[in-house]
Amino acid sequence: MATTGIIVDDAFYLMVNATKFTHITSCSLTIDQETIDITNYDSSKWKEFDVGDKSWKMDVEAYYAMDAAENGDEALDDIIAGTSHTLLLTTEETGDTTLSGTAWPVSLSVNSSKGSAVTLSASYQGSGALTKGTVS
Amino acid sequence: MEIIITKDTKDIRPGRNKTLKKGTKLTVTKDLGEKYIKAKKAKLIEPDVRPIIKSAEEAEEYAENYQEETKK
Repeated sequence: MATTGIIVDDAFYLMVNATKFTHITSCSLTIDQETIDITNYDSSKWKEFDVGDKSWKMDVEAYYAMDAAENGDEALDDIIAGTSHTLLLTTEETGDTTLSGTAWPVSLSVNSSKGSAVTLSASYQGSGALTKGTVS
Repeated sequence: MEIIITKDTKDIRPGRNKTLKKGTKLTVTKDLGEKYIKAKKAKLIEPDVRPIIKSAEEAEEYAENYQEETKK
């Protein structure tokens, strides 16, 4: 049954290459729509725009666990090898909305500081369309 | 879907090469999960669903069944 009400934190998670990216502490998807200025002498002093290209990207922050099936080691492999993957934002609930698309890893930083757990930040640049689907 | 690896096995996804250890729990897409289950390398983790008890009679019945189950 589709989720009712607000989706709370970890119910909506990221899958990379068909497996959940583990130990995520934050995840953000940004979709941008470019605009084309078509203002002209007939615009009556109001700017006019048409729509241009769209793009999307995803940023992930997580704790680094080397034994996880999908985490820092895999992000590292992907950025070194230059491998794109299918990213899927989803829940477990049948009928819920999913978002998926192919993306390239474009940045990865591993952060370690005294007295705290090792974390990683990864960014993925979407290539092609982001597709809306449904959990089945 | 959530699966548990029942036998040490190589990650079958392209671009991945880790060995998934027996007992590892994974959340995967339905397609990937079914591949592991079909290959007898994993089992589906069923959600722990318990009935909603609406009366004293149902509570007694549930307790009896639960005792029988735990004896097995």
